[in-house]
Amino acid sequence: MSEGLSIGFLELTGCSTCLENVLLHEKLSGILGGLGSVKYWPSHGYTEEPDSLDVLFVSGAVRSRGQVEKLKKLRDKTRVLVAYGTCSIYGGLIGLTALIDASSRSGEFLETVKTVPDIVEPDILVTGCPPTRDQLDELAGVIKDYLENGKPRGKVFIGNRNSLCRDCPRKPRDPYRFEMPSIKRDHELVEDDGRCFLEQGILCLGPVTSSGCGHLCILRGRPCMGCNGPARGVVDQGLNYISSIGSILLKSMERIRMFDYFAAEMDKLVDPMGYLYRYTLPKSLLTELALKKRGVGEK
Amino acid sequence: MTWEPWLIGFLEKWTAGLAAESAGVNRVRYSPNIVLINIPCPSRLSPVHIVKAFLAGADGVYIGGSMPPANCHYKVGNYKTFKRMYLLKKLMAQFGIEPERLRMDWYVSPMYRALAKNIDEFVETIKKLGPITSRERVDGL
Amino acid sequence: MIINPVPGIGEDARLVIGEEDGRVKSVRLEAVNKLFIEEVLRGRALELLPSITPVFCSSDSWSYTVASVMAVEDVLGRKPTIPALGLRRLGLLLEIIENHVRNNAFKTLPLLGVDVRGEALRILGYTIRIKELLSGRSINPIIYVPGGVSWRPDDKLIGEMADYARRLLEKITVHSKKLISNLKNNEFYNKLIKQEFNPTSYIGVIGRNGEPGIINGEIALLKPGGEVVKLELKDLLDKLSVSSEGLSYWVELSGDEPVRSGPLARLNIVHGYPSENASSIYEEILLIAGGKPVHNPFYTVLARIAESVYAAELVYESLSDTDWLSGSLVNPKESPGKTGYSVVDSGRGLIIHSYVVDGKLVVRDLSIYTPSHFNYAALRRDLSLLTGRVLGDETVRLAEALITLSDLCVSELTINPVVKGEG
Ligand code: SF4
Ligand code: SF4
Repeated sequence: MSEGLSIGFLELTGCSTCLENVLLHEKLSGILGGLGSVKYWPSHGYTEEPDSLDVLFVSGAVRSRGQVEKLKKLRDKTRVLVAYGTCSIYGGLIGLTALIDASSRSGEFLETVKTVPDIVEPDILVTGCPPTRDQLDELAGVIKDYLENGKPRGKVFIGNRNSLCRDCPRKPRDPYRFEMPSIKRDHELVEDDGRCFLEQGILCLGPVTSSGCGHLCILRGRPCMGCNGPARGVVDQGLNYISSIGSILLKSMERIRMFDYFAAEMDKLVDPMGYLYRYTLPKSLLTELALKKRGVGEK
Repeated sequence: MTWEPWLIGFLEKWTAGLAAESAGVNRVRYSPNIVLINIPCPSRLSPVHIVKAFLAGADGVYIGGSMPPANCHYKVGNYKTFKRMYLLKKLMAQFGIEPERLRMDWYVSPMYRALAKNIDEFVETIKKLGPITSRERVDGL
Repeated sequence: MIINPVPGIGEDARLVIGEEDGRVKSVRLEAVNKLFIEEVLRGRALELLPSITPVFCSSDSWSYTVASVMAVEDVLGRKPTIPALGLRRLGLLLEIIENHVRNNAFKTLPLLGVDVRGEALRILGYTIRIKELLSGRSINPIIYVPGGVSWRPDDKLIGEMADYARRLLEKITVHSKKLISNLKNNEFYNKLIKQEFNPTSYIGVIGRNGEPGIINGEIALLKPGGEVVKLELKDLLDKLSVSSEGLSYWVELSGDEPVRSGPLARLNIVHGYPSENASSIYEEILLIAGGKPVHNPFYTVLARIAESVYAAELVYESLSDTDWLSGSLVNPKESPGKTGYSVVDSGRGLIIHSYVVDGKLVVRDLSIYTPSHFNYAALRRDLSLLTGRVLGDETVRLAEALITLSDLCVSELTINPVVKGEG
């Protein structure tokens, strides 16, 4: 079936190293026909744009007008378009620049950072920075199905969309007594006692992040940074998160201490934007508001 | 056409909400630029609701809760609200959206004069800050 | 004549060749895309930088993470634990292998008509396996924290990693031997390495016994005349001057020749590789070159081969005996200051981070220098050697090869030269 497939890789703005993992994954690479099927990959020496592609993997966020055009053009030539990696879907780390107006540097740039689904309709979306081996296993199955059974209907998200907390090995046993006793900054976690990070005062984005990664960080003693994007039902990672924090921070002190006591604790969170939107800033409602306030996109 | 601010307020119905009613009964005027909505408890408001209100064109969002805070009808609602809004204001500041566009005050039901005064003050603040989006508002209330 | 995409860089840059009467008049590599992310690093909480800065270049993401962690450590006044140092070194060695194999196989060698992409993919398959076992994800590692590591692999995982490391070493040794003899018989390559290039300076981190230092050693600067100067990082920062043209940025040592960093620089600076297979490749390179310093950038291909074998030998060695893995993970003792500096000699070359923070540990200013910033200046001069040549296929290919050899990533950073060595 992989006979004569034509595969492309399009790198937009981002590091795009995650794309390499596609061909390094035995199952996926096997279905695609390996290196022999690659027809387009500008940074890797395949610079000629083909007339049609069976599968196109797009990584990175959209920053320039040229990228918008290229993406649209390649969408028309492609059977299965895979938005690959968090940058392409939510902006990823590059998305942190969504509020930098690059268009003031050169007319070629957009006024903000866009994502692939903002421009064209992808058939398959794979989150992760980078997507994990298990996600690629699933992706391989879906691509195989798509190639065998014709043009796909609708779009498919690869990976579990439940929140990380749901199956977290650190999940607190008694949700009613569950409390965040303080706010600590990331580097202040020096002795991980194995409990839920929130119970240790550490901001773990697990409650609002989808668990496509299989708890990769949490299993290695690190709180989630949100790289798989919002879990099902989450409208905005940061806003939904502060809503949760509002419920559990210093819960036992409610009705006992005054507001300034809580305020003082919350002041320890010096950079909420960095903590809460490290991977999804372009998709935040606050970004939408900030851009609207500046008049971006109205003309 | 001159710009007039457009604000939305959420009042806890057991206290601030009653105060707003008393303001009406007692013929105490407050700015017509605000639309007030009674809700059982402000802790039901998610930061998402607030930001969506701004996106829908509200130049300011007002929240009236009960005083003293521990007097919440649902015991701890005020604390949850305070924490959420405090964090939201921090976020707004980082996004370049003036945190002053979000204001919270606390009431017992007889404080209708204070409510009217606070609302007028808030409307003035927003007038100084200007419209939240660059677009001129054309529709009235 | 404008070439975009540029091999090895993609669409983030274009190669502009000016022509006059069929001959090359000027050659320039111009950045056309930028990340602009350094602009949002100011105002960030210090501890977040190690998770954000790797986006500059994820084929060096482990190096950027470690460099950032080290600079944060320097601000906080923390000292890393032994397991942390070991795991950092392990990660960086794996990345060096990947970097070299990727650059040679996918970027440079195809231009010389050598196709080893299939083999390269198999080698990369091993390195990313080990990296995944180490950090859960193959790029943007998560386990490195200021003062230590968040986690250590258990014996079972170490066993698995060691097994991959053994296969990696076998594979890469065979591959390298084949590749070297292949290159020796490659006419085009032989022609290229005989060409004259202007001497440049070389900079790198060198270990106590003259081996590549990576994160542990002194900064050595080799002048074109052969003189070696040891530099403190802060002195180096004072000497760097920044230039830019459009969206392209580069650094030079004030009043000096362009200074190269990366594989070719290290080849010139090190006294050898203290491991068996790499040593013999090193000797072979010296034979071909007829001595050091080697100024011809096409030797980078060979330098990459030697170094990747060296790194694979070290990876295997450190996974076969893991005594260094015991002991506490994080050393929390600290005395925070206002500035922090770090240097990592990654596969691509020198990465320097310097941060200035306020009392709340919020980043107020920073400068980050990347390998591309160093090598761009040297590349500009290499490219200028092409002027006057007949503008044909071969010249274009040469220009492209010079670019892939310098392994630039032009989209990464605009430089803010504010942060100097004081403090
Ligand atoms: S907050 Fe983090 S550590 Fe706690 S249960 Fe959720 S994912 Fe697990
Ligand atoms: S735990 Fe969070 S940050 Fe870590 S890989 Fe999973 S989604 Fe990404």
